[in-house]
Amino acid sequence: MPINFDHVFYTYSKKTPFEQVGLEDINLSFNDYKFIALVGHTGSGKSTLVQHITGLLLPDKGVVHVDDYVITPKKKENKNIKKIRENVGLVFQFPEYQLFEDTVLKDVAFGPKNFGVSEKETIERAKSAILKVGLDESYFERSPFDLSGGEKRRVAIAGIIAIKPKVLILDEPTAGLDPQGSKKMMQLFCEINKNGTQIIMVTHDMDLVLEYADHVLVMKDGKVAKESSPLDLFSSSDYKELSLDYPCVFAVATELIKKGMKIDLTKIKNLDTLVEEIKKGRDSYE
Amino acid sequence: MSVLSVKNLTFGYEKDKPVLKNISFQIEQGKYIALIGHNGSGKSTLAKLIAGLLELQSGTIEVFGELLTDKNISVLRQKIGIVFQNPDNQFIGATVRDDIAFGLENNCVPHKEMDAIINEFAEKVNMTDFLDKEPTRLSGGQKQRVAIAGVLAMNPKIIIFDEATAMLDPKGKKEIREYILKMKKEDESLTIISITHDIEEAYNSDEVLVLNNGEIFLKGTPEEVFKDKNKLKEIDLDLPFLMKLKDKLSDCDIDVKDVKNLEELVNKLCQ
Repeated sequence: MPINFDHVFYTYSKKTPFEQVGLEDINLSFNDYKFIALVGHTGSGKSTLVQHITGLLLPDKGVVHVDDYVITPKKKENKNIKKIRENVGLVFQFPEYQLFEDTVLKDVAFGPKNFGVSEKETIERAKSAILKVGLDESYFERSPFDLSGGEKRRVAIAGIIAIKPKVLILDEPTAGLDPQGSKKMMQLFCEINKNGTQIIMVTHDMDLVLEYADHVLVMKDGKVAKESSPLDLFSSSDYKELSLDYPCVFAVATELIKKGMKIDLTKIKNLDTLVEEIKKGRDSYE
Repeated sequence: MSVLSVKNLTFGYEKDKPVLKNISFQIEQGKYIALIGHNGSGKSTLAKLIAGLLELQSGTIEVFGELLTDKNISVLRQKIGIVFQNPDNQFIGATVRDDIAFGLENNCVPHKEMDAIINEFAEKVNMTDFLDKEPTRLSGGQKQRVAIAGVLAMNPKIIIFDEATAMLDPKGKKEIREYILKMKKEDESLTIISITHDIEEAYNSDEVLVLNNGEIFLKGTPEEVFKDKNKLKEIDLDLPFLMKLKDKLSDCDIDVKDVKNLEELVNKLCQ
């Protein structure tokens, strides 16, 4: 779905002593990418940016286009904002704190019900979303408050998936999950992505960026500091200047390259592809 | 000396649904223990029982050889500090100074001594400049540092970190991790129990305790625990990055069994 930012500015606590720049002259177009990673330090403006896409924050200046909808600084002009939220699902950081219903099924059904989906379809969608996030039927009637942290997270994500948005925005979706849980969650997002949902993911994990994203956006002090493919970001020295971490698999690969092994960085996305390249590199020795 | 001894501990939030099943273990003084396991495996429940935040149902906990009971819980609890995951959920004071003072006030520390203690611990966590700031204006890492100062000011002998870095960004994580190591260096008798999903952190601890489904699945030094990789895979637990890489290379008949770190691995591969 076309998402465009046109000279967007936003300031927090305007005209108070706590005034702080949120976004400064953001120009962006997300049309051509399927899986966008949004990275940068705490306070760099990542969350402020995604909240503009769903109209949770209105720009001070500039315009955000989401599909046919336009988000402008004037409150009165933004009447269609509910429609945008039906198409753009935003999973906040630590969404488990937002659960509120007395059963898991009801909590997940809240979204579609709120957007006017029929009772029958709402339940079907909720059930299928719960199964999709890796919880089984025994969870339907349980209270979301008795679940563990990771399970709650899954319920919260199911709640957004049940709305069937065209764009899914995830704010650090795997933070605090166990490694296996993170992996399953990423597989789920990949599947949703393959079925045509565009994904925008805020993350600090550079290995995830390298493996999944086809485009990466680095934010710094409310501005876009760099926009490129993950490969470009990590194969130039830019990542260092932006003080980002380096993906573990690249760290191994570059050490091997330093020692003279022939390795093609462009082929490396994860552990499996790293091992493939090491194999090839060693074969060329002999 | 064993600072903590847990015997036949069983606990559940609902009847017939035990979250912890007959757990027994001991922890020696001065050790850095990593407690790992899946979400829902019972790690946080165990931590809360040890810290006296949940009432025992069956089994016993001994702290410094003393049996934990209703009567002595408030005394023994002073020996145990706990830092939780969410920095926003553990602020009580209106300023950083008030927040560190909270525990001291509860322990009836005279006001005259309090100031010195607050200053000492604020300095330890590098938050002196923030003493009169509102907690809401701090970053996540700074908030956790204040929480740690508040815990340290109580002079605990055991500190439990319940995923204390999970909500922080990489810089905040590093800050806290380095701080814990510094703390440990300054006081070798301090025992640390870190509940974590960070396998690399567990790999660098003194002892690893793996919980699965409310039971102790594995316990030992990191070498012992991670050596048993099939067992860890059985419960779908992640391995440290280096071990995963070694594993995959071994599958391709590349012999890297004996390498201990990344440097050795690179040298071996380039031979």
